[in-house]
Amino acid sequence: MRQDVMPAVKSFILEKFLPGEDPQLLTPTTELMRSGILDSLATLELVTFLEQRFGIELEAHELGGKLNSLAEIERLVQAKLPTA
Amino acid sequence: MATESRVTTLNAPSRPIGLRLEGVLRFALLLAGLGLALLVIQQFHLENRTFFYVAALAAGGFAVHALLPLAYRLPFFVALSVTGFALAFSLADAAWLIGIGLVLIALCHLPIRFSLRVALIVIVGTLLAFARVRAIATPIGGAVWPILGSIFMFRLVLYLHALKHGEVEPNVARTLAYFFMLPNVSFALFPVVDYSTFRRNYYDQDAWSIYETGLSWIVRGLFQLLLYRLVYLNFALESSEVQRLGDLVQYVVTTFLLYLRVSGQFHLVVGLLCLFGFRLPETHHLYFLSSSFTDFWRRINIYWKDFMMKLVYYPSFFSLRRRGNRRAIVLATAAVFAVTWVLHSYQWFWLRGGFPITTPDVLFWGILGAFMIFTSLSESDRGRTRVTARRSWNVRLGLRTVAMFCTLAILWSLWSAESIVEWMWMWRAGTIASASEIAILIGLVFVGIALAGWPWGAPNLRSGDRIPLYQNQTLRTFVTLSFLVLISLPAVREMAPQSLRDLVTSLQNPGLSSADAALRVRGYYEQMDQRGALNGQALWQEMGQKPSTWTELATDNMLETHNDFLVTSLKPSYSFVWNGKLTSTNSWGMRDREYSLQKSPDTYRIAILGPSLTMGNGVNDSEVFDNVLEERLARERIPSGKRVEVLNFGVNGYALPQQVALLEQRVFAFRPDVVVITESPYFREGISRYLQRLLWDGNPIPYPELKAILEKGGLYPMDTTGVAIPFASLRRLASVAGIDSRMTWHESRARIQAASQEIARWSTRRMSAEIRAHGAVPVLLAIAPADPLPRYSDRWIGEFGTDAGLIPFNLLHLYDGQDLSAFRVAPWDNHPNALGHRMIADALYKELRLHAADLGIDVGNDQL
Repeated sequence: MRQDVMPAVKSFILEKFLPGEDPQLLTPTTELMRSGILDSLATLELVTFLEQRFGIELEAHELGGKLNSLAEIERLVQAKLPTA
Repeated sequence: MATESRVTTLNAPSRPIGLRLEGVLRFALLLAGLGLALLVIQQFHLENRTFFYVAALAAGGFAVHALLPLAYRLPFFVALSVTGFALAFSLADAAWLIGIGLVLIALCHLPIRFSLRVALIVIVGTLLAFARVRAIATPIGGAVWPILGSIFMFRLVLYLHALKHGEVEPNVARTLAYFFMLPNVSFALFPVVDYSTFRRNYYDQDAWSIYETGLSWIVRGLFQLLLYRLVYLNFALESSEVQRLGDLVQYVVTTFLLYLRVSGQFHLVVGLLCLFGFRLPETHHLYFLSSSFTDFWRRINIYWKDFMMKLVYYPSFFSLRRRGNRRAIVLATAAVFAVTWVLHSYQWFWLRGGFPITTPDVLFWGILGAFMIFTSLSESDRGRTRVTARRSWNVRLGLRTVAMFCTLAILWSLWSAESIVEWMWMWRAGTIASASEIAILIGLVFVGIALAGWPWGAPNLRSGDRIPLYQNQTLRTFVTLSFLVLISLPAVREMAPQSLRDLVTSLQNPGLSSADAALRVRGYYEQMDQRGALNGQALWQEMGQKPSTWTELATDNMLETHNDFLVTSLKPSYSFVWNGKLTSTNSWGMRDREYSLQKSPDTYRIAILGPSLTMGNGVNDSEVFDNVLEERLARERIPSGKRVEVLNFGVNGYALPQQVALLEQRVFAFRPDVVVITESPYFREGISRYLQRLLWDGNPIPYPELKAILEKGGLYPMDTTGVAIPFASLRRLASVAGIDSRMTWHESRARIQAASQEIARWSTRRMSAEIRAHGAVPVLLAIAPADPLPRYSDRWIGEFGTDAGLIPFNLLHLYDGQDLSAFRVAPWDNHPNALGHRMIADALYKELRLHAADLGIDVGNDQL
């Protein structure tokens, strides 16, 4: 069951971590971890959001390099969502 | 991986570059930049010689690699790396290193259960650890272990983690490239490279951009290594040099700045890897500008942070979060710092062969961890405001950053200290300050706030914005390289004022700082502490070259120990070959030829006392400077009409108070005409080392004046029984509680250091008076090992020479402007070699002639 993941994640990140930033500047390929937007605590907050919003369960080893951009997050979440 | 190969094919310049003009131009610029970088490494003697060869191999390899079709690049990189290992080690050692590595990699891929594979690797690792400390005999050379350790101690864990989670692709070349990376050949201190990132980021962007980023990081690394050297050689202090507030601030700040070496090396490593398509992330990011503890953790050693997040923090958090997020954050953070502390020691085990667990180490990681927990909880509750590039100057950011820099620098100084007592003792100097010192410090804080208030290096979401010219990566790379090459040229340096010229010249000196030279004099290099391990790497590197057959002078060969004030002396009539040099004593226990006690009327006698520099450690009997001088004076018939005898009373490790005793017990019996007392700028270290032993052994002190100085310093009488408790006030409290206590070893050392100036003054004045009372002329010979001179190296000569009534012979600047390695016994031994001794003899000869009238030497008609 595919859901529109990216807009929800984008607005979450903008609201929580980048208040006041121009939404157009946060693109699907913006590096979230390398740029410091997502640090360890923010990653945990994002994980909680993804799990609650999309009803999925993430594992610790998936956090290392799979949340570095909106595109990667979408790919990870879509892979976890149950297929229709 | 299908996705990866698609990206790779799209971005990598797999077509011959000759077909594209832009590619040719960028390729040419990269080669020119690498050429300049090699010139900088060569001109400034950066790191070690192996690094230059590796850098040259990498530059040449890059030229070929970039032109190869994509499919050949990984195997070519592996071949280049193996060539690097073969060049840096002997063939046998290279074979051992690669062989052990292949076995470890093969174990990871055995077709058995994962847990069994891990168990097998742990068993092999344990066996290797026993071999590392030579509990198991192997023919493996000592130089192999640090590199083997740096390759496998963490990367193997990450590789296994990737294997477990199905992130390892069946690609032999990639696996070999991951473990046997070319830069590993010359850097044992290596960033923890994540396998998944290493694989995922390989040519994942435009190849030329990756190469250009690599070159810019190499240049950044070189620049940081030069900044490190500037601080290390010119501004870093030893704790005993801290006398007032200004010194204290200088010590604390420079100790923190010395980390530049680590970040410089990491930039070089990652920059070199980028040249071969591995687009690895930045390893450090403006860590001196951290504005909180969590910010610092994110900016310094980013690879380590990611390693801990991946293997400790996230797994701990996930397993604990059912009990609540706050508790999980606290416990996961605590686990990260506990594991970091243990792994830090584990890392030094493989690099140095020891497992250092010191109180400053425990305190440093404990305090940092506690602050991290507190800041994490605060950020978790209130959120963190991200500083992005669109923000302008902000006083709050400036204040926070300066406050954090000061806090971290203080913590770092604690970590670098040999002991807590010594560290706390140093802070007493903070109460001694002049108004100008305080004004300068306040000024520096304001400058710091003004600079740190800008959002340096903050993430810029406007990636499409036009980059200002001054931020252009290629332009900055070439401007920096050209600047460094220019200042390395003597003709350019000549145009600068002397002080600036000296600073720039020091950048080309790969030697030891005065602090590390003092450490070497103190004999601590065999048991290097945190500071030695992290900061004093020049010393560490030199010591790493020392062969295991190299020995120190000890009681089982030439030294005798006594329960008296002298503590040690040389065995009489003893001869042995010491580190390849004939080392003998006469029947009087002097390292010299035989002399009769009686002096004939036609003999002019010069007696020289001193430490190992006088005794001639590291050269043959005939090469010691007193013999060279004696031969020359005899040849030239100086003094006229007399037979000259130069008697060497030097004994390894002799401090000034020992020279007092030796003079009175043995030297005067030979009725010398001139007595030369030898000392170096490291007299404090000598006195400290000697008195520590004397006091702790409880040997008698026959000099009431010296006893009074020690008593004033709380050192005499020394109670050596009971529980070790630092600080007199705490010991008094313990005494009230009925506990028998004593001073700690570190406190006694700090107290001796504080009293050393007065002890040196007493020693020289007493010797001067005694020598004159015996009708001889006293001389102070100021001499130093073949190391860069410490700051203020000449200051003590006035106080202990002229003021004490001794004629000063200042030979401290004997090696000025020359390659010090030409005058040293070995890279790991800074005693003068035969050439150095000849220079000392020549300089002494000139001093004798210069002071002929004062010394009563008749030089005939041949006056200077």
